[in-house]
Amino acid sequence: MMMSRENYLTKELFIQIAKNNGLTPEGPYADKLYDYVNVVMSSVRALEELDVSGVEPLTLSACFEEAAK
Amino acid sequence: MNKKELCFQSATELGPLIQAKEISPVELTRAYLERIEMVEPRLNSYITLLSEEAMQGARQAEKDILAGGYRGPLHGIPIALKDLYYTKGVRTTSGCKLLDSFVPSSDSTIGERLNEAGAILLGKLNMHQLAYGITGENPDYGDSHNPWNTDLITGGSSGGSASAVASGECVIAMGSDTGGSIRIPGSLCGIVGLKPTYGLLSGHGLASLAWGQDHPGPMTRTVSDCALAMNIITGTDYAKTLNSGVKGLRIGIPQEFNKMAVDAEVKSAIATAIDRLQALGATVTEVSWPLLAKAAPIAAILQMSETTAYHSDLIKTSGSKLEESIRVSMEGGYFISAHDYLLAQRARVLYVRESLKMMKGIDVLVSPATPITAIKIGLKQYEVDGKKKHVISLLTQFVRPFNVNGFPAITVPCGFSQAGLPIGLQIAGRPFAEETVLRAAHAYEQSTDWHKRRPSV
Repeated sequence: MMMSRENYLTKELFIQIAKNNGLTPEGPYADKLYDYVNVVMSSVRALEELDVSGVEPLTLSACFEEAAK
Repeated sequence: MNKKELCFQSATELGPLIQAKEISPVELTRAYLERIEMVEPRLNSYITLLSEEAMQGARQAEKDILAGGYRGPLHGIPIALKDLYYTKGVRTTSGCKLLDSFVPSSDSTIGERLNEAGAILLGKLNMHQLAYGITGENPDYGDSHNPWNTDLITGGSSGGSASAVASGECVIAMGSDTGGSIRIPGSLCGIVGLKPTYGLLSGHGLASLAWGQDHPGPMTRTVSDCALAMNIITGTDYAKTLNSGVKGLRIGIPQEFNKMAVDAEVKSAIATAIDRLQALGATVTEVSWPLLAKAAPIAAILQMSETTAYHSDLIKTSGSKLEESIRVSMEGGYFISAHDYLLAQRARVLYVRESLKMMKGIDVLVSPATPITAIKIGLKQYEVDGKKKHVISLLTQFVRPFNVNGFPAITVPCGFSQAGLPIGLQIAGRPFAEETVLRAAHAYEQSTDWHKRRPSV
């Protein structure tokens, strides 16, 4: 599912994902979690600036071995 | 030597005395238990104290040593473990009341090694709830208190480990570091804390925070004790090159570090420490680390996803009983997609490759461990350089980059503020270059007296 990064999660989608994962956030706590999730998505946006094409998700050990070659 | 002095001896000092039968493990353990009884009401370093078991272990150690069965430099030495190290038959809470009745059926691998070496386990140490925080505050078992000023945080998550070592409540403590959780409390409590290379020490039998960034490690009053603990745990001799000095050591200082907020007293202490290393024969060059700014977002996405996966059952059954900021972080992990998690993993590879390239012409990186000294318990924001900063981002800014690339990094005391609070110098090296990191830290430590200061508690 493609989601807009400008408004990463609508409240409706937030509630849907929460329900799908068995979460039942309610009242002020739900608002706090919603705000937090949207802040975290700014971290995702910060990484989208990087060009990761051709980069495999290696483990740290594999990165260290690669450097040792 | 009086009992208080005994409790501030290092393992490298105590070992030969125990071997020579000049100090008895029973006498030593009793001194530590008395010290704990005296200072615990003010510090709250321990969640579970194992007084009877420790005395029983000490009596056995004494019997074995008298019978000629000396096992080595940790035989009869009182130690303690952060309460996320599994201990057979002893509750392991991870600093969370929801796990108050969890009693593992086996020891962690690190605990086993220390036990085989004859160390005496005094107890399980306080920590930030589920290791998900860097202040050492804990609503379930009470906050850890800084021995240099008990109104202040210890730092965390290994807060009890740091306060216990700093105040003479154990000789060596084991901590764990996912986003600075050994080095932050190490710096704020004025002790030595090593986060070894990722994967060097076994994480088997440790409750996890984030699998890809968890690093177990030793916390001690001296660098030589830190090397000794590493010797015992890994079977490699990290002490053999400790005294080789730093002549010709190439120190790098990332120019990006110079742009970060740092308290003036900390800045001054670090500059003086770098001057000292240069006077000892090291050279200093500025290096560039452009992807450093990506360390925090990479760490955040990976940690949230992995923590949520690890604690999924706990969140589902008892999430509402967790401290609210921890609950928010844990439940927030459900909203990170597989695409975002893999983006962070791929970004991490770029970050590690750049880190390795940067280190090609240098041996170690040097920085403050924490940009500020210990702050009041309960503070969420703190002003540095005229700007209010979030305490979490402030305290993690210099340490977290090395959880993301997995490089070894140590904090060693390098001064005190005018308020009498410790300042920590961080020295980081290339993967598996613990010998170099320990050698540099030892050379610096031995040229100063900071590690000899004791809190008045």
